[in-house]
Amino acid sequence: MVSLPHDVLLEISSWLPAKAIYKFSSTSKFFSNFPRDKYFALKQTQNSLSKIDTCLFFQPYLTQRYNDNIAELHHLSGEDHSSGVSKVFINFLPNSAKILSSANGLILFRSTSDNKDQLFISNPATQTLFPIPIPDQLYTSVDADLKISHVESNKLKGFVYGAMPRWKFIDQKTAYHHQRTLTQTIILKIICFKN
Amino acid sequence: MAAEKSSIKIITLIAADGSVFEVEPNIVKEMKTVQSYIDELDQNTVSIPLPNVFGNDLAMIIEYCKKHASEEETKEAKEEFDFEFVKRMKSDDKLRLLQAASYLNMESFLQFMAKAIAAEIENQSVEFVRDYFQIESDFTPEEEAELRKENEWAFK
Repeated sequence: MVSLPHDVLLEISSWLPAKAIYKFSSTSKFFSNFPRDKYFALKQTQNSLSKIDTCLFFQPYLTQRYNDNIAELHHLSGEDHSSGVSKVFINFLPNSAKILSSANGLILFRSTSDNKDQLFISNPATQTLFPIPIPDQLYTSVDADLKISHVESNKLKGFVYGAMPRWKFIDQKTAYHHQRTLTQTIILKIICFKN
Repeated sequence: MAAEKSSIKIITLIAADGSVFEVEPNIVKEMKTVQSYIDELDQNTVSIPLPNVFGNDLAMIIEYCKKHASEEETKEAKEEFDFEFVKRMKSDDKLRLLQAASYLNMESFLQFMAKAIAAEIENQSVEFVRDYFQIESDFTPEEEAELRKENEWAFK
């Protein structure tokens, strides 16, 4: 068997889930470059989104939010490994984490420590998390309800959230924009509302 | 097929072991390597040698192309066919067909095989992948140990 050319190896690897890509980065130097390669990341993202791989979370409703939070992840396809994210991935989240929303393999969760609420966006496949700005009133009122909505267009992928009872029109001046590169390919634009 | 060169009716493909396949032009549409031959020649019948593809593999590729070129088949029937097609292959068959697809320059068949191979290796070890793809590690033992430690979560 003749060894395969690099472009063919890249094509194969682009159909792997993130977890396997990180595992196989110990195969050789060529493989170890994949997680940092922008072209590869884009190709892998497109391939992943073309697969049917829907999951859902089960999470107890908590009145006492300092309890240990046990959320469960279930795959609709019935295959444990289709996304490469293990069922126990939730263990890497802080105990107080409450999952608020999820889209394109990323999750948005809220975590409380030292009486302070924080919002994080997390990529469970790479087990990374990034804090994001939070509406001012949440700093003073930990009980404030968050409304989360998921937006998606060609240029923008992200979560829109606010702590107000009803959605209202937000003009560009009062909205605070925050951009961050979360994965190599998805730019998240977070709009946080001030009332 | 108005856009097709009307003069060509049958294309003869000759595999590495000498076996001969006669196919209609629409079957080889996806084989860019074959297509470039046809474009250069202007004859009623074209005979094309494919020294890098064995007869058994070429038969499978033609079977795949026929199914996918058919306009009568439903999308579901094609998906069902794809599933069974991969199911009856061994690991080495998949690699050989992938190499054939690469040589024949068949974009969507190459993707299809790459996807099947990815599914096969996903839950395998690093050692399996090295063996399967004939890859020699170019890391020092220290470098490899460090990388494995860094990505420990991915091995669980």
